[in-house]
Amino acid sequence: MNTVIDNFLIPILPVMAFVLSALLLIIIECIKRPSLRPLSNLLGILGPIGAIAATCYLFKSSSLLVFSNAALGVHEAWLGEFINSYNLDEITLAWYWAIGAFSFIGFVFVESYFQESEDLPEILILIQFIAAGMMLLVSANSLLMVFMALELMSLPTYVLVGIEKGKHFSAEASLKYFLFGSFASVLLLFSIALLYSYTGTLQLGQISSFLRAPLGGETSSGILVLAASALFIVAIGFKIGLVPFHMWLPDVYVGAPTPITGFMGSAIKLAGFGLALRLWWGMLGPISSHWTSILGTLSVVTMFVGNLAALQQRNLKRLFAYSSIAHAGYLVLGLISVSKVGSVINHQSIFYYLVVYGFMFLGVFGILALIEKEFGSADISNIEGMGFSNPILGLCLTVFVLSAAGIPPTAGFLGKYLLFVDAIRAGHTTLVVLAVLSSVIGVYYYLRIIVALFMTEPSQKIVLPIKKGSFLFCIIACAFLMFFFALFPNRLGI
Amino acid sequence: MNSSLLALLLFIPLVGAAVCVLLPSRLAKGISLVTTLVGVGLAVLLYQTFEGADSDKMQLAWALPWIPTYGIKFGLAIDGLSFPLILLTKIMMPIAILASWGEERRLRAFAVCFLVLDFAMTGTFLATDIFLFYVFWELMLIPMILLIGVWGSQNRIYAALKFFMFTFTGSILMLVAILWMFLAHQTQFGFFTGEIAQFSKVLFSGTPVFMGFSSQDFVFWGFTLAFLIKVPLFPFHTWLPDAHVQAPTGASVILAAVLLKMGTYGLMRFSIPFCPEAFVKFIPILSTLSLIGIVYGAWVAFQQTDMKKLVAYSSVSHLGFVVLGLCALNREGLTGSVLQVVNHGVSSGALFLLVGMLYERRHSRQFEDFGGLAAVMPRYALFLVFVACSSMAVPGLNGFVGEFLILLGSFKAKPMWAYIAVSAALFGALYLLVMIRQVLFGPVTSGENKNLKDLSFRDWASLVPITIIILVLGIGPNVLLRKINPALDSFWKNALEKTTVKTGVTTMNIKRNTKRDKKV
Repeated sequence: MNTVIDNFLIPILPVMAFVLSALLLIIIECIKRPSLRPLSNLLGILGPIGAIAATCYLFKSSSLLVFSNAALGVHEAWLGEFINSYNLDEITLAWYWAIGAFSFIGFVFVESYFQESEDLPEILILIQFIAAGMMLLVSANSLLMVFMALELMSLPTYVLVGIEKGKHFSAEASLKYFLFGSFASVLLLFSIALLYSYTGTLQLGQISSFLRAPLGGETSSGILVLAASALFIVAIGFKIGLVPFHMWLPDVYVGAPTPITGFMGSAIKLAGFGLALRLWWGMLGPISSHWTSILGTLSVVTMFVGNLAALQQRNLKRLFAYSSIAHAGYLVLGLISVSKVGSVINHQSIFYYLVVYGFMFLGVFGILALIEKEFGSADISNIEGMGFSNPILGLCLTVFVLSAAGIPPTAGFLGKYLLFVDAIRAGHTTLVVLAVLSSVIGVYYYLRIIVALFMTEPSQKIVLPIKKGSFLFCIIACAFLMFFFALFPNRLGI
Repeated sequence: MNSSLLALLLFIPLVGAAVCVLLPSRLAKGISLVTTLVGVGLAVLLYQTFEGADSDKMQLAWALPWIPTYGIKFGLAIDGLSFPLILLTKIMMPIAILASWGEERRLRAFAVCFLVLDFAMTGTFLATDIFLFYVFWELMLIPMILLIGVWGSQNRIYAALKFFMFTFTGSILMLVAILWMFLAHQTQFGFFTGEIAQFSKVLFSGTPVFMGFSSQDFVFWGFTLAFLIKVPLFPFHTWLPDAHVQAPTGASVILAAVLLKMGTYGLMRFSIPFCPEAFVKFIPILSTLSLIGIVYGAWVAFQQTDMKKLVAYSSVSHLGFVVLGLCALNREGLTGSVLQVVNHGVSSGALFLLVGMLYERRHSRQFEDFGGLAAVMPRYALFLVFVACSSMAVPGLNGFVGEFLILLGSFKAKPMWAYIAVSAALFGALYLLVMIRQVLFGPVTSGENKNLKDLSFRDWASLVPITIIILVLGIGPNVLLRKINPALDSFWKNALEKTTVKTGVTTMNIKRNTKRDKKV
C-alpha cells in the first residue's frame, strides 16, 4: 500500500486536487439547493489552491520521490505502467505551478463574470477537468497519456466555448473549435499509430532512443518517421495556433465568453507548448534538425500574419486573438532554439515567456470582460478616455499592453530578450531580425490602445463598475507580476 | 553618501512620482518642482564629488545583482562622457516644469510623466550595463509619448505615434546588435556579462557575412541607426518637427535639451568604442549625411514662419555639427562635439522656452501675428536676442566655443567639410535674425499684442539660470572641460589605437592627425 501512496497518490496530488474538487462539485450540484451555491463556489476555488499547495509540497519533497519499478510487486503492474507514462521532473513542477496560478485567476474572473448565470457550477467543474488535463499533458511520458490528457483538456473546452447558449457567435465558435480540434486529434492519433508501428513502443524516451539511429531518408522507415513527425507538427500547430493552422483561433477567441478566452489564451497555450516541448525535444529530438528550418520559417510567417492582421482590428478581443497568434510565432522560435544538454531541456526562456504572456493575457481579458459586460462589445472606441476615468484599470491595461509589445521595463521585454538570446545562440540571427521587425508592426496596434486609453477624448465618461474586490485584486496582481518578474526573473528560474 | 549618490540621483524622481500619485492633484506641480530642485542640489554635489582632473575611469559605481545567469547587473556609474549630460538633465528638469506651470489638465499624471522621464533619462546616462541602458532607453519613450499625446496641440496623436514608431524601429534593431555583442562576448571570453566597458574588447572577424559587409558593419549600423534616428541626422529627422511642434512647452524643452543628446551620447558610448573600424569605414556616409543635415536644416529653418518649427529645424542643423565633429576624428572635433551637445541643449531648450512663453500669452507662434514686441515686452526681447545670439554662436557666448572647435577639427580632417559647414553657420545667423526682426521689431501691428505682459517671476526664475550657464560656458568653458577632458583623452586614445592597429587605408589620415596633434 505504501508503494501506491509513494508512487501514485503523492506524485499525482496536484491533478487529484482538481479532480476531487470537480467530483465534489458534481455531487453538490446534484443536490440542487440554492443555499449550497456559496459552498460550491468555495469548493471551486479550492481546486486550484489545492493544486498549487500540492505542487509546493512536491517541490519541497521532490528529492524524496523515487520512481522505481523494482520496488513494485507483481500485482502492482498497473502502477509500473503509470510510472512509465507519467513524468515528474522539475520542468513539470514549474509548469504545474503556472497552470495552478492561471486556473486560480481564471476561476476568479469566471465566477464574477457568470455570477448571475445558472451554469456557473458546471463551468467551474469543466474548468477543473481542463486544468487536470493540462497537468497530465505537460507531464505525459507516453503517447497514450498524451492523447488522453489532450482529450481531457479539449472536450470541456469545446463545451465552455459555447456555454453562452443564447449567443450565436458562441455556438459557431464552439462548433468550429470542435471540428478543428477533433481534426487535430485525429492527425495526432494517426501519427501515434505510425510511430508505434515503427518503434513498437509508446514511451517518449524509448521512441527517442529508437530515432537516434541514423535515418535512411529514402527508406520506407525514414519516410514513415518523417510523415509521423509532420503530422505531429500539424496537430500541435492546430492547438497552439501556428500559421497556416490558425484559422479557427480568432473566431473562437472572439466567440467564447471573455474570461474563458483569457483562460484558453493563457493556460491552454501554456499546456500546448508544454506538450510541444516534450514531444519536440523529449521524443523527436534526434530528428528535430530536419524540421528546424521549416518551423523557423513558419514561426516568422506566424508573427507577421498575426501582427499584420491585428493592425486592422477594432474589436479588442479579435485584436488580442491575432496578437496571440503573433506571440505563438515568437514562442515557436523559442521552441526550436531550446538547447538540450544531455536529457535536460533548457526550458527556462520559453517558460518565462509563457508565464508572463499568460498573466498578461488573463489580465487583459479580465478587463475586456468588464468592458464587454458594460457596453456589449469590446470595441476599441469603448475604452476611449478610460485611462483617466478608470485610472486603475487603465493603468493595468497599459502595463499589459506594454508587456505584450515587449517594451521595457515590463517582463514582456525580458521574455523576448531571453527568447532572442536563445535563438541567436542557436544560430537563428536572421529569424531574430525578422522577429524584431514584426514586433515593430506589433507595437503600432498596441500603441493604438494606449492612444485610445489616454489621448482620445471620450464621447461620454463612463466608470466601469467593479462588483467584486477579488476581481480587481487579480487584475492588479497580474499587472504587478509584469514588473515583479522583470525585476526578479530568478523567481521563474532565470 | 558618495557611493549612493548616483542611486539617489536616479531614484529621487521616482520617489517624487510615487508621492505625486498618493497626494492630491493640486500639489502635483509643487512636488515635481521640489523633486527636480533636489535633483539640481544633488547635481551640484556631483559636480564637487566628480574627480574629472584625476581620473578618466568610471566613478561612484553602484551595483545590484539582477540576472546573474546572464551576468546582468543593475549597475550605475559616471564618467566624463555622461557627466555633462547628467548635469544638463538635472538643470533642465525644473526649468521644463516651470515652463509648463500653466498646464491645468490632469496635473497629477503630467507631473508623474515628467518625473518618470527624469528617472529614465538619468538612468540612460548612468547605466553601466548594456541591458539596463536599453531598459531605460525604451522606458523614456513612454512618458514622452504620453506628454506629447495627452497634453499636446491638435495634431498630437500623429506626432506622438510618429515619434514612437521612429525611435522604436531604431532601438529594436539596436536590441539585435546588443544581443549579438552579448553572445560574441560569451563565445570569446567564456562568460556572460552586461558590462558596457567589456564589450569594447570583443574582436570581430573581418570576413564578410552578407553582401560584402562584415559582422562588425552590421553591429555598427544596428547601434548607429538607433542613435542617428534619435539625434536626428538628416534622412531620419522627420519626426522631430512634428514632435516639437505638437508637444507642450516643457516636453519640447526636454526633448531638445536632453533626449536628442542621447543619440550622440550613444554614438560615443557604444558605436565608436565597439566598432571603431566600421566607424572609420563609414565616415564618408556619416559626414555626408551630417553636412546635408547642417545645410538642409538651416535652409528649411530659414523658410519657416512658425517659431517652434524654426527652432526644431535649427536643431537638425546644430546636431549635424555634433556628428560632423565626431567624424573629424581629432581631438578638437571631439571636444567641440561634446561642448556643442551641452550648448545646444541649453540654447535650444531656452529658445523653446521663450517661444512657449509667447505662446502662453498670445496662443500663436506665427511670425505674422507678431511684430514690434520689443516695445511691448522689452525684457522678453532682451532674453530672446541673447539666447538667439548664443544659438547662432556669437563669440563670448557658449555656442561659439563648440562650433568653433568643430569647424577647426573638420578643417583639419577635410577642409571641404569646414567650408560647407561654415556657410550653414551663416544661415543659422540668418534665420534667427529674421525671426527676431519679424517678432521683435517693426511696428506693433496687432491690437492684441499691445497688452502682452512682460516676463513674470516664473519666467525670470527659469531664464536667469540659463543665462548664467550660457555666459559661463561662453567665457570659461574650462569649468566643464577640466572635468571631462581626461575622459575625452582616454576615449580618443582607445578608439584611435584600435583603429590604427586594425584598419588599413583609412588610418593614414588618422596617423597624420595624431602626429600633427602631438606637435600642437
